[in-house]
Amino acid sequence: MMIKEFFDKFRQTQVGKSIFRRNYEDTPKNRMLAIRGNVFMHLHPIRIRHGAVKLGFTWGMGGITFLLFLILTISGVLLMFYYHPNTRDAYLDMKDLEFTVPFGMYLRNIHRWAAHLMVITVMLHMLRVFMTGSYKPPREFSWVIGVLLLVLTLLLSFTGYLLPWDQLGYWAITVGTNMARATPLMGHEGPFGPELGMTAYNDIRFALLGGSTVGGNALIRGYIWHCIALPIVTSVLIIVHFWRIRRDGGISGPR
Amino acid sequence: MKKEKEKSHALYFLVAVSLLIITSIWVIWWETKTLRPWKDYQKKYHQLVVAQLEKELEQSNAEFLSDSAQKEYNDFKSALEKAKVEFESPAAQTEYKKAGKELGNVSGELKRARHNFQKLRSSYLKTEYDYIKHSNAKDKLTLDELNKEIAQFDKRITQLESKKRTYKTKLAKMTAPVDELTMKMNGFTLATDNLKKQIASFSNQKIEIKQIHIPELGRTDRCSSCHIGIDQSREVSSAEPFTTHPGREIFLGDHQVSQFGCTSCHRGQGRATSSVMKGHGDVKHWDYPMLRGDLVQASCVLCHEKVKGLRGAETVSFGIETLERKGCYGCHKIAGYEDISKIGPVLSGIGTKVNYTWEVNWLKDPKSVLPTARMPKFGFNDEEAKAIVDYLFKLNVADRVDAPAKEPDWDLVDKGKGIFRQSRCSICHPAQNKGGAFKNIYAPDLTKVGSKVRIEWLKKWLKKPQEYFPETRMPRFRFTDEEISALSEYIMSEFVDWDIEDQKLKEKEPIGEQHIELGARLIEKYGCFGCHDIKGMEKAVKIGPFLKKEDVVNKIGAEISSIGSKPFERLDTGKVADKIKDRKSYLKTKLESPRVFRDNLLMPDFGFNEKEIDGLLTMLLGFTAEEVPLRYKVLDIPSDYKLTGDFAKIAEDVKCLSCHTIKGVGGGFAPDLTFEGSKVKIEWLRDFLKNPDVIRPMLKQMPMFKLGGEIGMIRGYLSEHEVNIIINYIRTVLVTRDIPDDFEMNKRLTDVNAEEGKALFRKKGCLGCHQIGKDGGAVGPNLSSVGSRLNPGYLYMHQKDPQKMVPGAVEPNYNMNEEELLNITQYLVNLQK
Amino acid sequence: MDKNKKKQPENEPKSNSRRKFFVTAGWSGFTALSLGSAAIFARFFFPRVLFEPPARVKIGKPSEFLPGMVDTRFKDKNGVWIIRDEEDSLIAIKTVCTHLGCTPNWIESRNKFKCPCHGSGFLRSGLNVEGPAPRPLDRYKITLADDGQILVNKSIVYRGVEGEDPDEIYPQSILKV
Repeated sequence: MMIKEFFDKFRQTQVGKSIFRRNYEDTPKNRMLAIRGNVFMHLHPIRIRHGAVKLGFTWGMGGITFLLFLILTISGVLLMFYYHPNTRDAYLDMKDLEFTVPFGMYLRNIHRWAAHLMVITVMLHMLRVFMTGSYKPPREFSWVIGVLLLVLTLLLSFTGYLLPWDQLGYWAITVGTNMARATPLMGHEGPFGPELGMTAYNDIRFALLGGSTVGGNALIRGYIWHCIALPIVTSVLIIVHFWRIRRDGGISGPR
Repeated sequence: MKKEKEKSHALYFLVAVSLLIITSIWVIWWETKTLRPWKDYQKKYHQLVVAQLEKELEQSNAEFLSDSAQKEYNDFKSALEKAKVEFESPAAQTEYKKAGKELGNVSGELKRARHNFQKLRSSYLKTEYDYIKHSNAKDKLTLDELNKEIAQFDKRITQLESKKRTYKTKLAKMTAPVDELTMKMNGFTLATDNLKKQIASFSNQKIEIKQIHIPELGRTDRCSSCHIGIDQSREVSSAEPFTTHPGREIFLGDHQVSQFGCTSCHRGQGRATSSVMKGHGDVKHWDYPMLRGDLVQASCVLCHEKVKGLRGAETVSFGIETLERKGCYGCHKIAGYEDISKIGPVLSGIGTKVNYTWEVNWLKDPKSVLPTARMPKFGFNDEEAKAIVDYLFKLNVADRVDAPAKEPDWDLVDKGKGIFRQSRCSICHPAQNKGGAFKNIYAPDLTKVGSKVRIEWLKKWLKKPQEYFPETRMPRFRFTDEEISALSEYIMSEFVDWDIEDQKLKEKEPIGEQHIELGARLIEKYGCFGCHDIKGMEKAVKIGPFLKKEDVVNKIGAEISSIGSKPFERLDTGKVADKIKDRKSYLKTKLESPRVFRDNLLMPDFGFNEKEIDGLLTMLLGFTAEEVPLRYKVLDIPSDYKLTGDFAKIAEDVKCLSCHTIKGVGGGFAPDLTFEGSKVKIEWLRDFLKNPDVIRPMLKQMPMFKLGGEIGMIRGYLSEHEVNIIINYIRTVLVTRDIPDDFEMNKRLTDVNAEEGKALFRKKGCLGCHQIGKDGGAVGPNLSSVGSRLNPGYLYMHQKDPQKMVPGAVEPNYNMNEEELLNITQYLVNLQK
Repeated sequence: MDKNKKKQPENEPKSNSRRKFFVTAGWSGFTALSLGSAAIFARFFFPRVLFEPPARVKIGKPSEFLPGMVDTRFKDKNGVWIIRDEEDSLIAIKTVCTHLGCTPNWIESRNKFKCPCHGSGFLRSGLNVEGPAPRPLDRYKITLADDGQILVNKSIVYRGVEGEDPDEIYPQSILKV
């Protein structure tokens, strides 16, 4: 109770007033305004229907996916503190995360398992949306964004695979990018690729790897895509995804 | 069913949070305890050290508390008290304080003076700069003024400094009695205090990961986090991981831990700290598991280009010796052995040399013919062996032929036996389990040579070995024709194997075409030309699996230069895959039974014994693709010495360098001749060349080449002219400046005492190895007439530093002084014929 | 909790208070967890090993240092000069000018350390004699290790004091061999 009194007092001060806009008076209007006035919550719908919180219907998969995304972001940023994206150090940094960095192995494991889980939860989320027909108008655009987010999740997984710079990652990326050789028009082994002058040194795979084989350039590319570019794009799309759901009448639920 | 609003998830929430808390606690435990086994090891080690120190402390305390020490200590104590009382008397104290105050004043003044002096210097530098830049006359004046001032200040500071010193000495003098006594008393407790300090420091040692980081070698070794006492001189426990490193002198002394780390030699996963298995690299996908026991010597070859004779590298150097003896490089490409000549004899004229039956037997299983055989067993069956011999015989005799045994001429045999002995053939050639003391070169075992070769060939060979085999190391003995027929008669009759005689063909048999073809195919398949020169196949490729594309061209076997770092997954374990789990066991199996992995493998069975396998295995594990910086390399620069002039022709002919060494080239069996010209007296040398006498034990003795009626070194045909050439060469080329020609005069040997030298000679136990007259051992050369053999200068230098003149000499360095050296030299000089 | 269940019949207020307890316990647990995680992440920022040159360096036996010589071999790698005087005392001087932190050079012909940046000069004891440097050069702790090698401990620094001769105020910085 002490805490609450102190907190109430604090809200009366100028500093308190400058931070918290609303007095805590539990009326429906105030609740609504609190949500709207809060930068972290304003994407959230002001009101939701009873059915929307029913776990049996939504499975909570979208929320869990978002939570995993947050966990991945935090643990990923922390891991970056001990990672040098160059071919000499990358693998050794993995070893050192295991052997010397305090809680390094813990963070690596969290990051890894959260990444695996996120792929699964994204799929389950889409399955649920599909089964409940939640992609139907007016939510078609949310579905499209969702599909893009699925692709981004997979790309994040793929680019992250290279970063430990072990044999597994190295060959996974070698094989994975070899598929890009067969891209129509843009790959040097794809349909119409050679006719358009594609070689191993100017096609789409070359642009992905920054070279004709997986090397130092590919590693730093994987690193930038994984840690900067893809997370930013993903965050933006997540924001759009949430915003559209809100605009389109909140989470779908049983009628 | 309740409505959503009424449902409570509070319990789920609590359960979830509890689970999370439990997991977090487990994570913390795992992180700080499970993954960090070194913490406990370090704690335990510190306890062990402290326990040992405490024992020492007890001992040292007991010593201090002993009556005699206590008495002395108390004496000092009372003396100190007296001195203190004296020092603390008011008169002394006022004086002391006064001096102290004055010292303080002077110090303050000095401090200010230095400060001002520095300011002056700064403004001087500034003005100087201005003057140089603008050449202003005013600046010049200021400079002169400043210069004067600076000189004054300088003087003043010197004065103040000396003043300060005087006060200091004065003060020190006053406190001297007290200080001195205090120091003496401290001396009693010094050991105990030190121990206490050490105990205190070890009790609060930081528990941390110990790391040696050497970017140059790409090593980050944390081994000493657990092996915490490994580089300490104090051994507190002989149990792992607390022991100290064995053989510290060589292994740590010559290889500073901070420069080499641990894994450079021992391998293993240096970075790993979380478990013993990981640290030792005994985990999947770690290519360099720790080398245990003698296998660690594999790492010597990484930096040491030459490991022969290297202390602590006996196993690997035996491996390399085995490689060279067995000629692995015939089939396998090995870095450093690319341009070496083929190990086996030339086969192009084999038909004229040996008997058909013998050759077939030999090919089927060389060891059954001669247990000492160097050639491995290829496992040919009768037909295959015959086909190969057919092919080889077709090259010159065109038929299957054997020379029938015949009754020897016993007179000739007796004469031949004498020649065989006098020529000391058995120094190099073993026969009937005797002889063959000179192991550095390979000389064929003669036990069954009578059934092997044809007498016509033997006669030609003895006449001039180089004609049949230009690269042979056998000297041309310059036998006369009569001697040759006697010697060959003896050899043919003495060294006979009756089993082979019984199998011999009675008459010629023609060779079938299809046999020749099969023979050619087999030779090509098994790569006989890797070791033997065969007419028509000089350029054929060698055998064995290829590791790199470019090797296909010239080797039939696998390149083994980097076999020690080949990932285990890429080794073909074939049929025995379930038994072989790592690189080490693969290589061991390959050496023991080369063809066990698959059918149709080519490598023959060498019948290595256990020691050879250990040596080869160690060596192979050391053949890695790793590179170390040049700074770490111990290079073995091959000698570029070449024989020159007329001497070369003679030396080639009698093969001096098969036994002797000159400037790093040669057999290393007989004495090093590099400084022979400075070493021996020319008169003696002349006599010796004509008639070698006994210096060394029988089996190491130079062959008595004098066999005919005329006196001469090599078979009586080393003419006066040739002796002169040899002596000239030795006298002009094989000399060193370390030994002056006119040594005797320089050192004034006249006033030294040879009798004392003799006494010294006996005292140092020289007779244990050397023989004089009838006394003494037979390890070193006989010294009975050493004075007429060796130059005094050499005798002197040799005793001053035996290893300088003869690298690797076994003679100990007694570190004698000048007088002793001269005495003993004089004694030896007096030992004349 | 089980006991509570048995004693009291299920009714609205009880259920409410139990819910309250669960919520409070849950959130306190969550707070503890967050604090714990914060501690974990804080610990994460203090690495256990470093890849810097070590603070304690062994530099060889005293006999390798000639009397009256300033040894500049360890300047680049370890940032230290080893100076042995005509007698048998050794000192280790930090190679950082006390003016603005440049690295001075040892000028044998002038028997001085000279800083190339602003011309500060120091005697072989480290005492500043010219230029803008306000105080003598710093020294490192130097001892003999168990194996007879000289051990420079860069974590112990004897800071030069203006106008004071370092030899006098830091007798412990001198190693007698």
